[in-house]
Amino acid sequence: MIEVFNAVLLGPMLNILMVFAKFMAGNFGLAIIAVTILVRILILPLSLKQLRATKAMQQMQPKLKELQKKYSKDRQRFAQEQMKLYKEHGVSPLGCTLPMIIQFPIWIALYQTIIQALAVTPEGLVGLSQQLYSWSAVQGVVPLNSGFLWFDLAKPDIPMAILVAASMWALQKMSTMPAMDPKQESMNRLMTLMMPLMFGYFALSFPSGLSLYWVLFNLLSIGMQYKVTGWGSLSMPFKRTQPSPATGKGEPVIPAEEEESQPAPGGSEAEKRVKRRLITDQAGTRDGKHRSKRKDRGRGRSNRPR
Amino acid sequence: MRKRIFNARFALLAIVLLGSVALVACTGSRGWPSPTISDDTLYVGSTTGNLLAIDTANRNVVLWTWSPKSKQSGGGFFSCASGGALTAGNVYGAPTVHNGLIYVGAFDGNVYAIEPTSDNRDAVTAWKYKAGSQIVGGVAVSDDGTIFAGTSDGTLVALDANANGLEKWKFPREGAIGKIWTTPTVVDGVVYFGSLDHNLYALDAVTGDLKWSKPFETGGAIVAQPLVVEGVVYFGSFDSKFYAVDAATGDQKWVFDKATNWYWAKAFYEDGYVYAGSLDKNVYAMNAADGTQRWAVPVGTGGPVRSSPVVAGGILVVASEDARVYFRNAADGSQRWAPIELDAKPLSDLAISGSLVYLTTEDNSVHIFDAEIGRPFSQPISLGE
Repeated sequence: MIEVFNAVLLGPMLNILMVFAKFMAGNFGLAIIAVTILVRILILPLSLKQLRATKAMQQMQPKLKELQKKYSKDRQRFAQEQMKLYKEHGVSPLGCTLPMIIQFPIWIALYQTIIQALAVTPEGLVGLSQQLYSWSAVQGVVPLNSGFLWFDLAKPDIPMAILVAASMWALQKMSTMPAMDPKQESMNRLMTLMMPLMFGYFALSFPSGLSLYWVLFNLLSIGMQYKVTGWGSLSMPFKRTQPSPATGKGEPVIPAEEEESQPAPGGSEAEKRVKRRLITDQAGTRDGKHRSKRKDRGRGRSNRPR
Repeated sequence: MRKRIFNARFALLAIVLLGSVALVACTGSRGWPSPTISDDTLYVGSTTGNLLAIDTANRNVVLWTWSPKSKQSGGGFFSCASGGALTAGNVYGAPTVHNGLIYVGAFDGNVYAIEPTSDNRDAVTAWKYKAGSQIVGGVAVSDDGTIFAGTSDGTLVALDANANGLEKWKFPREGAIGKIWTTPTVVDGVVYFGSLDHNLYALDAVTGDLKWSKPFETGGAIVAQPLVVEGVVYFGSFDSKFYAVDAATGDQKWVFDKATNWYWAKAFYEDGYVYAGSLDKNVYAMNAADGTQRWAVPVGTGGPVRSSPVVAGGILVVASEDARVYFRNAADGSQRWAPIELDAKPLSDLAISGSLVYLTTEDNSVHIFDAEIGRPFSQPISLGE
């Protein structure tokens, strides 16, 4: 298994990185950036498919809401209809997890490459000797210079760890679907918080060359996500959201008591609710069934029950 | 449906966590301590950072075990970025014995002077010098008690063993060269060492000044300890070439270019020939005078040869990373005894005393072989947990 991994992934990645570094004046940081872009291009078809699925999910939200109302008392039927709807629109429930799973061997290979190519430990350097091809371009490059910008690619770096967490949080925010209900919203918030924190913590343990890859990969993903679906929930980073009945995109959740005192938002349902209340109030005033809440100054009357 | 999505994401989280742990079967440093024999006592480091003294004349009894007090863990949660914080005191080079004290350089960045008690039943740290950067090679000691150690931040330090490790000089005086992972060699007042910056240096052992007009440059990094015999410096490089350089002038005498991978270990000299193991799985024998190959074909093994070979009584002994020890006739490279299979990969260079050859393996044991009969001399000695 290890031999297969070395032959298929580690060896090629390591040698490609060494070649890039050689042609970039020995700058390993630039070589990592080049490989990150290359990896992004290679998994582009998968990423585009995932982004289109995300957009389709957004557009499906109003229909999902209808189904939820229709089958509110029949969960099983709702689940069946929901799956049917997903299939019709070609949406996978795994969402963005597949590209991440596919990247995992790449992270391992990149980590091993950094440890070996930068001569972090003698064991790593000996391992390198068995992975390098006989190309003249890679011989003589060892060991590579580990300095890049303000940090050492072989050592963890706190600012880079923060960038990893921040970029991952932003990407999660943009790509997470608005929740159908408060429970799902809580789960979404948990995931949106946990993954970036976890990766940020890992980044404090691993060489910052790996963090450089993660940050750049996230930034490229953010760019792609914006192109297809816009800022998503990132435009309201700290508000709870729900899918808009009209567009399916996230809109802030406004508590009922606030809704009455605010001008009606753009959504048509909220406007109708406000209009209904106004009509009801006006009707009550005309036929005398409802009392106004204005104070009656002279008479000392109140609305308290007698 | 929502539950499936949540479960899928949680599964991903679990995979990432577990994978990260696996990913870090993590290359912290382990060390590959080589044994040293002095006056019937075997000094050897373990992979857990201890140094042991073993009485080889008395059924291999362990006399004492010493460990550095500082055993902090490596960088980060999984000790992954071992270049970050200084790691436990793992040792890569062989201990050096001088005037009753034992000197080791450790991966925690310290040079330790270890003093056995008068009854040789215990040992204490006499002093330690904080180099500030990992030490991968061993230390060398000159006759006047100057200790030389190379560091991973590219400096060679000279310490006074008679003054509790007081620093005498540092090379270069300002700045740094490439990482120094070789064990320096001191001969006739000159200290020779290689660097990962591809150069071989020769310095005046008293002042630290360069002896040659310029360092000797090769095409690859140098980690092999230079071998100095009769005014010639022999060493291999990562450019897959083996060099002979005039010790006085730094001029090349000859170069041997038949290997196809790096040279890592120190070469061995015997009767006018130089024997060098390469990571291309072969051992080469060269005429020390002109670099011509002694054998028709090199001695081949099943794995990289990272340990220094030795010759005992005309028998070449080689430890390979295929977990075998080979016994060949030094004259023509033919097999003398069948290879011995080990339970674990060899870690260290071979050490020799008479016909006995000592080797440390990955399972934290010391193996002793009798080259005259091609058999283990005794049961392996465990170096503890």
